[in-house]
Amino acid sequence: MSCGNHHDVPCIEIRPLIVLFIDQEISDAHQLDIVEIHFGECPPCKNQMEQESQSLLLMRNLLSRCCNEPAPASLHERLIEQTQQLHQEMAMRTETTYTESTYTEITVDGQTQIEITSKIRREFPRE
Amino acid sequence: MPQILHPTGQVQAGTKVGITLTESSQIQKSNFNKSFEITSSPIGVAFAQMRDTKSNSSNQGGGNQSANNSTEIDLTVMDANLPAVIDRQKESQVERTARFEKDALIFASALYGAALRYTKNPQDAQDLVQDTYAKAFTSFHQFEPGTNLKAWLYRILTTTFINNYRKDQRRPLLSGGELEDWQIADAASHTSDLGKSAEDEVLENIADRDVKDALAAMPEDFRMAVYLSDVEGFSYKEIAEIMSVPTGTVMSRLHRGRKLLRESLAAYAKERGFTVKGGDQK
Repeated sequence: MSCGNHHDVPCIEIRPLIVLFIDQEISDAHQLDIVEIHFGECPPCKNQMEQESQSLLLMRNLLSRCCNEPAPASLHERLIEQTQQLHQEMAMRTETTYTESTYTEITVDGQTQIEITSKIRREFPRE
Repeated sequence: MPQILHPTGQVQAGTKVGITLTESSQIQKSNFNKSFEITSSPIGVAFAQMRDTKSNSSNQGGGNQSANNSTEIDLTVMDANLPAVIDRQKESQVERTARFEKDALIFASALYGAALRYTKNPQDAQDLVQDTYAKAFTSFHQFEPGTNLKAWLYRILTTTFINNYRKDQRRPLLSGGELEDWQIADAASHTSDLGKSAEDEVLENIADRDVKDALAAMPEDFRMAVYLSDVEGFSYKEIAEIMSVPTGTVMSRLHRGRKLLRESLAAYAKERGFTVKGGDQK
């Protein structure tokens, strides 16, 4: 239906776009222009948009208020534990790391120098 | 307990690298106050390369038995200030795990909320989230860094739920011409009154319990679409990916779902004795 006034794009074509406009799902700039221009010259459509927008906002707030049950702390603990466990399993499969260390004492003229070296060796499984 | 690498993939001075499985260790103290050169191995796992060099520090006298044991770390320096570019081919499991813990686990609460709406049961919801994270972890190498991790996790959650948890196997019947339906139905007339509708006023007074019940009573696909859009704020396109359906289907489910929820809440309100002023109720 029309509000009675002439528009370049009739109301009937704008109406289905209102919800997309509210959801910010009109990605085409030209189409967005058309809708915004129409709102500018057609108070009933603008009105409709504002009302739907307000209703949706209210619904969203209501849902967010009701659906914010926090996850139990035990779940977070289990997730961390599970991740570590899976990590171990996957690390075993993908690579093995060895640390080789040496310890050397050198005594020169009564002064002892200690040298510690460390070497990482990784082995990757072959096909 | 494995030591977790700096999650950005940079190796910093003083950072101990990798998981230490000390097989041949005599002394477990390692000196890493030097930088590492990161190179890729043939199978593409990052590791710190150390090279044996001729000792030149403690061995000046020559002929000492420690000559060949001395190891110097190659000093090719990485610029620690460079932004972290995650190269999944070179990323080690340790780095990947650290990245997972840092980036993915923070969505646990959000996923739990969705899981509750999906399963309608706290125990199942927890199990579902745990299963989701197990799957996400083992396929984390497939996730493209920089893309939408939250949507990726929700997709796993949703798929896992549909495949393994859905008790009610009956799918809601959706007709083929979903898209046109809601567009035509709504395109009929303007509503002329300004301001808050009577329905809106009623909704403000409705109890949380009723909202949850109304959501739970909705067909699953509608419930998911509404939740993902109106609670989680996902775009149509993201929801389409999460639910593995075309965007048009998402629009249809979302708009029908919203309408259904609105009507259902109005019914709850009526039952509770809230009066609907103006008789605007559909």
